[in-house]
Amino acid sequence: MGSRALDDRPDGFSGLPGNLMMWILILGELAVFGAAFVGFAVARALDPVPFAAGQAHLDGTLGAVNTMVLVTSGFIAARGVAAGRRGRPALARRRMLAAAAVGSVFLAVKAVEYAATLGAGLSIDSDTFFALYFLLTGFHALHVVMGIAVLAIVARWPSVENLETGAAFWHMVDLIWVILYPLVYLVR
Amino acid sequence: MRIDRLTWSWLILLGLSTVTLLFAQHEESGSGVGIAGAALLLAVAVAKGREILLHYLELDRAGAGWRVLLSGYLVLLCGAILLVHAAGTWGWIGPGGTP
Repeated sequence: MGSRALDDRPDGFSGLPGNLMMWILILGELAVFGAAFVGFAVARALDPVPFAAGQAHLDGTLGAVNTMVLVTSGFIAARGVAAGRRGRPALARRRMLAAAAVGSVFLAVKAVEYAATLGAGLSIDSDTFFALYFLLTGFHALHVVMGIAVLAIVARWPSVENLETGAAFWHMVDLIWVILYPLVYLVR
Repeated sequence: MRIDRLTWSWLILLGLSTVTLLFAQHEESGSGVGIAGAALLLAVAVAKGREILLHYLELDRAGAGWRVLLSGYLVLLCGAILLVHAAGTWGWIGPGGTP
């Protein structure tokens, strides 16, 4: 499916890059995160005081830095797919590994953020805000870990379809973060 | 050097992230963002999401139905978040507004 020239893509599921099963997973993930984000917004509207207090403890600058990290990693992964399509699997492999390395910076920044939060005595059972904060950001961070593993796997077997499929999962993780970040860190 | 569309997307995403970075730093020195601030932040999120959908996930090369479905998801989700935020701030739901 992935080796076909891009301009020949028809409509329907086959018009999407990568494996169909990955797109079914992506649509499911977007539905789950979407429902969780609306739930977070409703919980804040119903009980705004702990949310305002909790958000004041978070470092929005670190979140913005992490956005830049993820979009840069996504760009490198997309470049890796392009290299694979041009018949340069070794270059594609290097780019996917570079994307995974940059992606791991996200986890390092997240670890700094969690250390500061937990160090201030704020944990998942502190209040509603921190329960939802740790659940949403933790669930997303778990997807980052899985995404890094997927990038490493497709770097090992860099067929065009594998590259497209791994990159699609990685871009979905990116997409979720660009909504999660303002919702949890900035809107108050 | 010629800059291709994917690179433009990356630069646009970095630029929009800088906007949110400045917003975050401003917020750390003050209070809440208000409805207009929330609308701006969510509009920036939609703009970022569109770049990712169209150029990273390559929906610009897929069928129009996919662009409509996933762009619609972004707009509806961020619109719903803004609506709920406004309802809380204006006291339509919850205890009657943020402190």
